[in-house]
Amino acid sequence: MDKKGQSEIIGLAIVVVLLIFALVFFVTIKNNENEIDSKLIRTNLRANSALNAIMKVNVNDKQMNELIEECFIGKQEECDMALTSLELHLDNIFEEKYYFRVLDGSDQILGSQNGRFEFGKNCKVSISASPYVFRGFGKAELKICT
Amino acid sequence: MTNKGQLETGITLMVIVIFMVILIASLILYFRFTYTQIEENKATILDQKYNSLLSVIIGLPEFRCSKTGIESECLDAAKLSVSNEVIERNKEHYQSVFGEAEGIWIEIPGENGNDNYYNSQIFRLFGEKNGKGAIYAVPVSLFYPDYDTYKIGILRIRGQI
Repeated sequence: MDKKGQSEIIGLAIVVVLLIFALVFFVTIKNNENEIDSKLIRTNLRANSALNAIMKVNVNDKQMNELIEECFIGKQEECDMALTSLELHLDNIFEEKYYFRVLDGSDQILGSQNGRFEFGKNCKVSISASPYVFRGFGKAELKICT
Repeated sequence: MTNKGQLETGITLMVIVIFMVILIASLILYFRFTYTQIEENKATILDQKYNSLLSVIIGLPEFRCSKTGIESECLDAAKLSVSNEVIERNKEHYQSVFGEAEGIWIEIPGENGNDNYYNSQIFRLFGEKNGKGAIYAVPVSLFYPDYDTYKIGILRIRGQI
């Protein structure tokens, strides 16, 4: 085969490879976009409603938001109670991955002697609930991973 | 045919074969992609539909809790415990509200299912729990007025297949 023939075949091969790459790239990007759109709709209502339900739930004779507020002012017993029951409730209501945290006024995660108010792992793509604000103390955030 | 002619015919055939392979692969990918898109659109429409229904149910005054006439972001467990009978008696009206939902119920995780509504594991609102349709769920806050207590429930809707 002469040099011209060889270079034509190489040219053709390059065009084929480029076409295949373009096709795979297009399909991948398009599929990812659809996935995100769909999950957005699926979880938007859930995140807000879940955070509202968690903050209202009673633990013994107090609501969760009251326990966390008392934890902000340094009551250890309330902190422990909130930590234990938060983990239990979050695991009960979510089948998918989630990320929940309570932040103080300086945006640091609230902590006590027995742990930090941070549950689950932060995820790259997620739907966030509107933060629950503890007036004068901080806020609680919930993300549902998609 | 000369050697050069054979070579050119060979190259032409190769180009045609490669072109056909790419065309067939592209068509397969295109139709697969279109099918996936249609399925996704269907899922999205159903999601929107049933998520809207979940919002409607959460907002119904028949279920929503209120204190001195002021509604709050929760469902009243006392109302929910008797709602099945009310819905059965007014089936036509609720059928139009709930649309194509096959079953609607609220589960309370961690409860033992006693007859007392405070310990009830499930509040059946409409239709049957078991079936084949996809289930759409949202966590809700439940208020037990006789006990002045809030719990977490999972509102579930079983849609059509």
